[in-house]
Amino acid sequence: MRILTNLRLLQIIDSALLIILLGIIALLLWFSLSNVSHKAQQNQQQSATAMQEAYASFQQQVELETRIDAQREAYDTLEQEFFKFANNPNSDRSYLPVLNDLSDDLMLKYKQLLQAWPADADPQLREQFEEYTGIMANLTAELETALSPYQWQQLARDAHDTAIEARELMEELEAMDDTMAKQVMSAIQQSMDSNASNAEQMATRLATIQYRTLWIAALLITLLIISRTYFSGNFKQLIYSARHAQTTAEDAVKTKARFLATMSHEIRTPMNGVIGMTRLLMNTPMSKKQSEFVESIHLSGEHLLTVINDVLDFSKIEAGKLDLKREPLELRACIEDVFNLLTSKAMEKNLELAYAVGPSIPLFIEGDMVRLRQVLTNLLGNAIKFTEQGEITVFVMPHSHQGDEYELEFQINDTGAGIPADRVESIFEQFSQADNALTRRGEGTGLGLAISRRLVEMMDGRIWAESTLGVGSRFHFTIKTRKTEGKLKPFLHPDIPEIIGKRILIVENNPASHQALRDFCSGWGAITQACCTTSEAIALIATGSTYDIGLVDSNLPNASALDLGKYVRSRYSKQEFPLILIAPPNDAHPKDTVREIFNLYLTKPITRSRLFDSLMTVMGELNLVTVRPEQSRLKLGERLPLSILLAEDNPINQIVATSILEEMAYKAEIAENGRQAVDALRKKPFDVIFMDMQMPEMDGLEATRTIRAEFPPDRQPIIIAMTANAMESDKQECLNAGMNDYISKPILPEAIEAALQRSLASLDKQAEPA
Amino acid sequence: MKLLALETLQSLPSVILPRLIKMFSDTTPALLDEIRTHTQQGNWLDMAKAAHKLKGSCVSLGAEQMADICKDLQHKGEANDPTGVEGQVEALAALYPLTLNAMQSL
Repeated sequence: MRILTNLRLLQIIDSALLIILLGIIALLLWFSLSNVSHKAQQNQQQSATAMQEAYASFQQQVELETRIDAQREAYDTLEQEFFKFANNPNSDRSYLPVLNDLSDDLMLKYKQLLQAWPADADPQLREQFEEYTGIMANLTAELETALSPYQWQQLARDAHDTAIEARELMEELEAMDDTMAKQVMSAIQQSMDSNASNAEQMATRLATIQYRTLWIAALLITLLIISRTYFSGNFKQLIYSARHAQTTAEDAVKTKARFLATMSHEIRTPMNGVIGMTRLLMNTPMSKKQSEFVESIHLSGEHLLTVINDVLDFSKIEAGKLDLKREPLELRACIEDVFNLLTSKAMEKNLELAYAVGPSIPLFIEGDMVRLRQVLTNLLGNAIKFTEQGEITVFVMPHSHQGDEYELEFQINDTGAGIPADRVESIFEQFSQADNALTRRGEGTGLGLAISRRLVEMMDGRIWAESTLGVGSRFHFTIKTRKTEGKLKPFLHPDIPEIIGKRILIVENNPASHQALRDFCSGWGAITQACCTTSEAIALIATGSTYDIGLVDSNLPNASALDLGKYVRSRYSKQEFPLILIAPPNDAHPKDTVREIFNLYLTKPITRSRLFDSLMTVMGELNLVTVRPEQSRLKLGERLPLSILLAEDNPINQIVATSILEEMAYKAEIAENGRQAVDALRKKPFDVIFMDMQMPEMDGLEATRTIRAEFPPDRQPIIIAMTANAMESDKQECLNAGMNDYISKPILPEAIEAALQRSLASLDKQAEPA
Repeated sequence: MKLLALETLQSLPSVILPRLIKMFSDTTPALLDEIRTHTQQGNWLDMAKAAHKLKGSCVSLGAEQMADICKDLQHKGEANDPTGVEGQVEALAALYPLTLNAMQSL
């Protein structure tokens, strides 16, 4: 955890540093380029303004020069015409209008010149020019009043002088205009120089930015490399630490698993020795006192073994080393197994055991039979332990159901003392017991319910309890499972031809047994009539109802089972209406009387197999059940023939395996060891090899490796390991060596058939066209 | 742990059971002798092989207690660990007649 925190911190620092450095680069570039851009914009504006001003000055200058030329031309024309008129002896007044027109033209040009007159020109110059032009115009007007040619000539001379003065002024104005033009040129030149200077400054600035950027980038890259190197080193160190920690943890787990496996043998084996030896000792002559001591040793040994098994189971679960199997299990058989195991303890207290499984629950479900049985044994064992009288019932019902998926709820009810409300919640904790007196008496480890809870949780379920003091307790647990197929025993088949249509009278007052009897008989195809009391049953028979078989509980109210039997026998013989008495082994009814009335005893607890056998026996048809639907089907070997080689050195195992295979219509060849198996395969191909792991000369693993290396793909058989080693690591070793599947010893028909079915599925898959 | 796991025997084809029990009674004394001899001589690996062989028979016939002792003897033999081996060999020898008797009384 600390390593992960450090890694995360380093990652955050590394990323932050990278972001900061990149941010600095971006900001520096942004500010530098913004400055350059602003200056470039300013220079461009200045240059444009200067150029516009220069252009305006140039236009004004051209305009002024044009106006001066026009004015000068007007002066020249007027002066020439004035002179011609004054000096021509033939001149007369009829020519005056021409001179007046020229004078008007002069004034027009004069006004146009004034419009273009420079604003900053000397005002005195303008006044003088206005004066001379006015004089010139007045001289033309004076011609109207002059009478003699002499006066005309005098006026012509004045006009000539005035024109000269005006021309001088215009030259002065032109000189001034030239000066202005030079100033404009100078301004343009300055603007151009300024532009060039700015461009040069800009280039220098950009070069500086480029240079600085290069240095800063180099600096930042260096910083990044240093930081990366630093962080990379730290990352490596942290990853190395994490790997080291992982390896250490894995080693610890392996060591713990090895320790558990070793402990399981080291403790259990001598304990078995102690118990075995004690049992031997019990068979030898001893005094009563000695027998009591040995019995005590034996019981203590058995108890110690239970405690050790509990502790080891709990440790395995805690270490995550307990794997649940997912194989077909027959739920009802599982409950009946537990009943068989606990019957003797229940009978010691005259407790009745009964169970009922919902009819919609499939016969076979997927799960771990051993572990489910362990949970049930624990809960039922507790129920028996804490119940002094009454009954223990088990109900299984579907909690939810979708397609083949089921969530089943188990209820284990007892009529015991109950659990105090404040302890109901905590009883599933380890080393917790509802009754501390048990611990003091040395009964139980306080781990049973904790183990059950863990196992149920591993089955995707939950466990809880409810209890009423003085009334009893009810333990619930759920498991998630799915419907599956399995090998049916004869009594598991629905609709048994010999039972179909048979009318069965059930007289049973215990609800669970009542329900179970109805479910079993109906499932086999019988027509059932169930009642809870003798009087109900007698009433049915008295009103003419007839039955093929009667199932009568021995523990009916008022001890009336015999009364019912006697009534039946008063009307029907044993052959006409067979009766079965369902009774505990220690049934108190007189045996002789029972034998007279009833055809058969059915010992409690009721299981399907015993009920089936009883029904068949009373019908006299037990031996006639010859054709079962399953038997009519072809055997696996007939349907799907395979060539099988059995590599096994133990002669007993050879017989067991070949016999099981023969039952399936397979004929297996035998190899005594791995080398013989390889040689056999060289001679002819085999579809499947059952390979023992440990054999003399060449073991199963080596033989498998040789086969996988030596033979071409079309000669490769399916190899199924057989071993008594139940460790997961052994299984992995087999698969790593190239084996396809794995079955544990003892070799059971179901395991062989399941392995062959899987092999066939895989062969089919290989044979399918791509 | 049961002396004899009935469910293992019941799962086997009933026709071969007498033959298997006969083979068990024929082969086990010799294997017990072999285990005992190798133990006395300290030939642990050979003892482990003999224990393994007997274990195979016991497992197949549901002789759980014998199989468990054989398994332990095999592990000890393979590990050259003589601790408690002699006692276990004696326990194994003592369990054998009980186990065989249980098989034969089926």
